[in-house]
Amino acid sequence: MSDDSRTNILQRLEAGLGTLPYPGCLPAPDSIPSPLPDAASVAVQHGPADWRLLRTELTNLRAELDVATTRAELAEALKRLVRAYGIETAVCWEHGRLASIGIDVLLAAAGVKVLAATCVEESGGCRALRDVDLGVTAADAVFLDCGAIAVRSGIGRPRSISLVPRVHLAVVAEEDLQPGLHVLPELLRAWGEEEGGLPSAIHLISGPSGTADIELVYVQGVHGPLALHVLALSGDWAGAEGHKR
Amino acid sequence: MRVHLFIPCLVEDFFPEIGEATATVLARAGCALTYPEGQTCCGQPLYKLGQPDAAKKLARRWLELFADATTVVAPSGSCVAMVRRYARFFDAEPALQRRARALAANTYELSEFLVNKLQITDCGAAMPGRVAYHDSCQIGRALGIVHEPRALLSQVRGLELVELPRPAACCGFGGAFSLEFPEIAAAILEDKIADIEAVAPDLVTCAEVSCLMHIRAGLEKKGSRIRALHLAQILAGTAE
Amino acid sequence: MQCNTQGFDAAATRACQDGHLREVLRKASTVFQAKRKAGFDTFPEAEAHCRRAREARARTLFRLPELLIELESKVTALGGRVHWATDAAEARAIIVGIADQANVRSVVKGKSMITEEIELNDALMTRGVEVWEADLGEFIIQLANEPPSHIIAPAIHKSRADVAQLFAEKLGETGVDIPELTLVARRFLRERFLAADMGVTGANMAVAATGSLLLLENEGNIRMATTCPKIHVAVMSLEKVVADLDDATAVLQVLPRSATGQKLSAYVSLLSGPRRAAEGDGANEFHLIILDNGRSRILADPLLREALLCVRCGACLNVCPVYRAIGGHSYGWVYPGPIGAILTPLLLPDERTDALFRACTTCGACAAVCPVGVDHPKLLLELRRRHAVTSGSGRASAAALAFAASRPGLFRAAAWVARTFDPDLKRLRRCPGMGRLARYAATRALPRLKTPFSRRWPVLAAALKKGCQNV
Repeated sequence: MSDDSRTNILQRLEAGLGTLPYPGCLPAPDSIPSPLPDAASVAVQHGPADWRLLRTELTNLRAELDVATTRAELAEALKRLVRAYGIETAVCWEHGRLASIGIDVLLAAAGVKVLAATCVEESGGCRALRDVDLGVTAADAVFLDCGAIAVRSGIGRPRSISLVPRVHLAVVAEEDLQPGLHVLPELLRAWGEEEGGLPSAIHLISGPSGTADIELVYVQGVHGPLALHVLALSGDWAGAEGHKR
Repeated sequence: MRVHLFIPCLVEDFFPEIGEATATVLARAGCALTYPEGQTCCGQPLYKLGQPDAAKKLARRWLELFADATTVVAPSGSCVAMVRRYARFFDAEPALQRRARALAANTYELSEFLVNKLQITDCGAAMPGRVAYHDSCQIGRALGIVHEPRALLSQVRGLELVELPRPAACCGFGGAFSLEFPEIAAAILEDKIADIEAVAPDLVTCAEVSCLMHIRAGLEKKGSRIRALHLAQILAGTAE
Repeated sequence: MQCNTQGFDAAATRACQDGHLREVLRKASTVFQAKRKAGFDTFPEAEAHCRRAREARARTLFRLPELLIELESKVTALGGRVHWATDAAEARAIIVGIADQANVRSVVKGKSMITEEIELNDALMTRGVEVWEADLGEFIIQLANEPPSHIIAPAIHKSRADVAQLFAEKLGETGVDIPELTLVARRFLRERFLAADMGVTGANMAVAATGSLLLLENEGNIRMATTCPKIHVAVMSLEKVVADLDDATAVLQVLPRSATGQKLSAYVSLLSGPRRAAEGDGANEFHLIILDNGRSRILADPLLREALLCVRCGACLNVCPVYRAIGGHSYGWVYPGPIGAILTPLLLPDERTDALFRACTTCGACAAVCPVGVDHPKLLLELRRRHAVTSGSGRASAAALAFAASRPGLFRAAAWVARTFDPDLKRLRRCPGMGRLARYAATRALPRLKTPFSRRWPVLAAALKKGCQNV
């Protein structure tokens, strides 16, 4: 019975910890936790240099980066992406940033049929996106030390959008940039405070899915998206300001 | 400087020439040598087999044999590593434990002694040819002795030092391991031999007697022309 | 997985003489060692990061019962269910119970050693539940009905041609090159993900302070298994809990680097309870199984509890010369390599497992790469010491050797006899009981007994003195 097991397991653990000596090199129970090392962190410069750094990281991760400083550049980048990946259908997060750049309109202009994010909820989950080519999200954070993009789940932002379609497009902005993973705990705590707790899912995405399970030969794209594309809104982006959520 | 010679059991009966080379190198470096008679075994194989009580007997004996020593040098890292463990055996005998610690602090593997204590890298040796150095686990990893053998080899006249593909990869001897699991030991050795053959040296060397024995046996079994010598033998300019 | 540790000797001997397997293991070892080295060479203050990760893991052990209680409380508050399982049988029963209750007909799995440990798949399959391993390597060996040959790349022993044939036979669809084959697997398993009623994963970490589960992967199968099916069951080895988000991040900063040299795995999932109301995907039922199965016994062992620091990065396997020669299957159970040689005997105290900790050269390569500082050789030697005491084996010969070595006269006499009558040890190896020496001799030339150093010393000493005088 699980309850008895619970009691027994906890009792055994308590009793087990009673036996001394404990390896001396391990910290004592009430010592204050050391800070997380931040040697790998990168200073956020709030300028084009950040995107150059991000490009280096994303290239290593086999992800693409487009930097747009104007609406025109954004539209062009989207058109190229649509052509390159043969995008016919797309689904987007419901998100202030995506709304303010008019992502639906831009994609439609590129000949893409855009589904509402609610289709996931309405048709009972991931299956709705099975044959969708492109999933578009914003980003809750972008870590410059490693190129990882954090996405939080939520209403209008189902997890499957960045998972099930063939291609994942993340639209990022300067305000997303973080110097390194060492800030992750404080970021998560801040989000938790904003929302009254952590969301049901947060994913740190570093590149497309991949595997080398056959003969140790790397193949890009297996169960997750086959490609990760990042679109950075750079500079004083009029019209893209606005809430992150 | 007075040095007490620590002659490992394998050297005593199977590779006495390594002992001779060690003594020669130390004498040329200006050391006055003492050889305590009656040396048998430092106890390492017993310890590794999980028999610390038996090893402790040999530890006690070793400490007695070397009681008068101020400096002890051995052509082996594993034996020195074992001596550095002795103090742990004598928690219940503080005086002996102190002596064990003191002796351990003055017990050295040959190359670390030459380079770090005597501050010499040139032993006046000459040995023309391509030589590859194998980083024995009990020298490199256990004692942190990595650049000292290379420093010494680089001063040997005519010697061209070449690096192995995986210089610190275990040769597979592992003491009792190769007797308990000879096929696995042979398989590990096979990869080490392949690495050695890949750089085509005239000679392969290392500072650990058991590795040398193992590697030489593997080369001989393959009919290889590559010779295997202990570091001490190269530094003594002797080649048997 | 069925325990076959008593077959270690035979399995290892066979494996190290299998040319194809050796080739595959050499390649894996080379690739993974190179990747890890590249990852660590470019890791600023790697040492500091490893120390901090070790601190996080140690804090876990020190506060384990309290952290598990906090984890349970937080997960429950989020709407998840926590179950405690004393052993494998109980864990199986719990999971089968969950499946029964929800009428589960198919399960998709993330790669999980702990589900191997509890032999979950068979338990589900005998209830008529379809179980699909979704990690590509695991999927391949599941189809082939073979055991894994390597922990990170379980199907590495299979060529593309092997996989092509396997897919043709079992899936009715195949490809020629590796990308094509991967797409075949993607298509096939996508349907399984979308149709599955339950996803089962392990747990890389669970954060007590927030009730969150942390899962790392590159393929996306774990994300699919935790997003598409309605039920998510996570089986957690109880020592995987960490105190808070800082400790979780500390481990996260070293685990992928140590495993494959990556700064981060392609996907890191931080899951806190089931989906929230009005969310469109994610499991709506989340179960966390906290599994003991012998770990509490290890925690109670002051000399060996250090083994519980392990974060399962696999770095020790990839540098182990024994593992490189014999592969994972030879270890006879779920956990191979240096950490397996420690954990298996501790988790299976009633099985014959001594070969695992005896088959170690004590080279120390494992301890040198462990990101949380597990000192494998120290633990293995302690296991040997205990085994010598309980089995009494070797005691007599160790005592005899100590006796002889304490009497140099005796030692010298024995050596004289051997040297005079059998210098190549030819006769000795044919003696009964000397079988091991014979096996040893079969693999290499034995050294010869020579005039001992002690006999040569007087002449040598004189010559050296003379030499010094002449200098």
